[in-house]
Amino acid sequence: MKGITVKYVCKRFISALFTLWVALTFNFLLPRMMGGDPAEYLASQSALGSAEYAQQVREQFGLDKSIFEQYARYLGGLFQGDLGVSYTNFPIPVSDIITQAIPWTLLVVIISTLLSFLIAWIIGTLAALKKGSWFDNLAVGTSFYIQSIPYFWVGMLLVMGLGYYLGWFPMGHAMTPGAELGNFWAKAGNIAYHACLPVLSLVIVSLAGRMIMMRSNILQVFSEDYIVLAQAKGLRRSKILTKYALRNALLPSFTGLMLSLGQAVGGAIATEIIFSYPGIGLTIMNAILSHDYPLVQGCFAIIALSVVAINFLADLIYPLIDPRVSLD
Amino acid sequence: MKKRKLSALLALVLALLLALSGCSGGTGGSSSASSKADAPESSKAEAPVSSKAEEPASSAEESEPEAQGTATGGTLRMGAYVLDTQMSNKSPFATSGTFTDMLDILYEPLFTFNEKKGELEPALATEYSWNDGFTELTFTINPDVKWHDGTAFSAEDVACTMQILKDVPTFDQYALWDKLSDVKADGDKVVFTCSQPFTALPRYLTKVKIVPKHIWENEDAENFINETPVGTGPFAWDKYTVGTSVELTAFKDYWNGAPKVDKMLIVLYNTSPNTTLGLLNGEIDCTTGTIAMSSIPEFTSKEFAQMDIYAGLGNFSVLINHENELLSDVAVRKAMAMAINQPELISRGEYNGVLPTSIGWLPDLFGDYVSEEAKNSLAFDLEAAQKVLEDAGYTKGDDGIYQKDGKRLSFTYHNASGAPAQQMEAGMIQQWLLNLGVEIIPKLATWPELTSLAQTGKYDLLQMGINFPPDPYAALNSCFNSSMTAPAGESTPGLNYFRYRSDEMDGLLEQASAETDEEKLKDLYYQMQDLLAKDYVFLPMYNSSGHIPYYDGAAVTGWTDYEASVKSNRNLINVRPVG
Repeated sequence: MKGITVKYVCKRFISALFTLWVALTFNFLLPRMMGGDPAEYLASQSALGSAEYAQQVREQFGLDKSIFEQYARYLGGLFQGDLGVSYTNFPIPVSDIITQAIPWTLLVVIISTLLSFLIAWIIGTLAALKKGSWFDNLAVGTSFYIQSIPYFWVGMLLVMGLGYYLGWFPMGHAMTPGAELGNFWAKAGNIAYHACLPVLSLVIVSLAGRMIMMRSNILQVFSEDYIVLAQAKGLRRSKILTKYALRNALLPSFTGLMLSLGQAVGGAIATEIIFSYPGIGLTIMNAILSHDYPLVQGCFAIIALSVVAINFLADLIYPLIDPRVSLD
Repeated sequence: MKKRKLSALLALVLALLLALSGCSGGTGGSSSASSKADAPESSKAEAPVSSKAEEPASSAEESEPEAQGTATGGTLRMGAYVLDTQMSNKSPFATSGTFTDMLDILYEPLFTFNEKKGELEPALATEYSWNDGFTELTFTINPDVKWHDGTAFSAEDVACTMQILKDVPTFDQYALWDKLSDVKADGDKVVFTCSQPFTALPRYLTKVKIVPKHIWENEDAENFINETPVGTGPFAWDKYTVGTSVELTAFKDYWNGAPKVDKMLIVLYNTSPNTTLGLLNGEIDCTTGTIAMSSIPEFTSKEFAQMDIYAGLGNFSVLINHENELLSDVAVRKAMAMAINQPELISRGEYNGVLPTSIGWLPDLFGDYVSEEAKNSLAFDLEAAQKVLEDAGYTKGDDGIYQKDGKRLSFTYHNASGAPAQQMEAGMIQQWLLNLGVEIIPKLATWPELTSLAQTGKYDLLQMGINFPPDPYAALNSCFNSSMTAPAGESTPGLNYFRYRSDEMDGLLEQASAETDEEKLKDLYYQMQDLLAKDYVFLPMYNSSGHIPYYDGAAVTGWTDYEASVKSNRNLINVRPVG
């Protein structure tokens, strides 16, 4: 296996930077192309549509400057780690809003993503190994059924069934409202209990596709010559699976996992809505609806950054786990 | 062994994420509510001297109508549709992005506006009086008021608050300082000097929450986010748990009597359906006014459930662009207004949880200023509506659409995207207009886009809400004065998105702006509303009414219907646990 060269890392890094710049520029342009003036909207909501008030707000937000000056300020701010100040939540910095919301998003999305991949890998592998068995038929059949169900419906079923009617789990929130939770572990337990339904819903809907993919990968690998050779050599089935089949079958799934982790900061809007769960998804949606340019830009900048960073990381890891990937 | 390693790893990941989440609890500490005090006397309000001033509620009977209950303690659990982002800034001056219902509990104005009665009621001031020329307004400060940190309230606090509004123009949303020249504290009085007669000033001041000088004078008010609010309201700030709840504690020194519950827990929900589910499930005792309208029948069928429905300071309507050649014909506007079945719109679209918008514009909360004649002048009658068009020379084409001189009655109709109820109601109205013989081309836009289209006149028909302050003059002037509009393509300087221009209306508004005689003013308002009703300026839908669901008798009781059940501090102090 070849080692990673400096040239390879530099090429990937420059490519990542360029991708990031394109994404950040779109972040700047897209909200402004939606139509509607945030200052006039605020004036119409609270100040009898006063033109003077709208102008004062425009000056406060820096919207009276030319589009190029706004773009230069935006990029300049980003370089210094300044994401600007939210319009609708003025004078709260966008970075404060994001840092407040994002840990909750990461908590449920990352746990559910990892759990979902783990379970999908296990079930997919077992189904492939027992191809044609009742377990395989059940797993594949159920997967197709689950995959056709929209996420919000699964979420609502869980809230109404396990939350509202049975009362086994809380219907929403990240913690019990108003509860006095003494020590760290009591809080951690309370948070974990509240995260159960959101995580479960995300696992259920994402499991099927990943499981089918893993099953197909294993089946494909098992038809390769080197597996036939390994079987002919009389190697044990478990050894063939762990030493030869799994390592190759997991490669496409690894790409999927890295992409999912990169997108995790984008949040899960439907989860936040259905379970009244704090997070970045709803913040982004409301920022878009209220034309809060800095907040939209800030959120998408973080998403772009994390997707680009994780992809860069995947580019670095891939040659290590798959020697066929060229480093040039 | 491997298992132990895995669980250790998972615990580490969870601990890391929890630490990132800031699960250490609230962002603020408890405010130091001062020591226990005896229940204060009833408000010392007296009738204002001015002939224009409203009669304030002054009796103990009204402030404590349920005084027969003796139980105290416990927690009032209120649900609110509020996002975490709205909890970052707790400045009562911010005009967006804050949790205003909570700030209304923590902070108070000099007088409050009773949205059910349309009256001003004393709060931080006991009375007010005008000079003869209505250019000098003097408030007498309520001596019983204390700030949550125990400091005595004074006239200096009011002067400081008004100075902040002057220093930061974006806080002065109604541009009060355009008409004010000075605000001065003088002992237990505070004197507002106006550069011109400004009879509506007391009503506008109900929107100005007073802040403590001893805290705010040391801060840069424009950027001060007020982490731990100190106000004068019946409940004091305790703590906020991210995305979950706000906890307030009863302020025992409250000037109008200590609340009968110890605590108020405001549970935050991300959406209206979640808030409703919490209410139906009994997680909360009331909401700040949020309920999924389609759940009203289910909620009201529950034991102890009550709905408080009253007029609000805003109207939903279908805006008509009077610069459109066909829509400039009053016959077309009249026929369309008559073709809309307003009672059915309210019953099917809003489950009778709102009140109708009057074709005369002013909602019921303006009491005697509301013209009953204008209000009752419009009734649904499809056949009569078609006759109006035919009498005006319109004929129905083969496609069922009326036309005149080769021009078909075909209009674009904008309404809000991402708002299911608005879209459903738009569908109902569009169908009624089609039944009349008017073609509609539906278009969707976000709220800010709708505002922009309305302001620049790039629409034919547009469905939206318009809000106004508790002043009938402002409600009429900002929406219907021709100086508040602009030619299509230019932004309007006010809310006259209709592009309605009437010399008669302008004249009436000019007279009203200088009128100080109550009866004459009332007559002018009647004439304006009657004129609007005659001109069919817009298609009325419903008032942006208060619709507050609450349980009376389940966990808490003591609500009164004199004021809005949840949104009035006079009401909140009376709520007590059952038993």
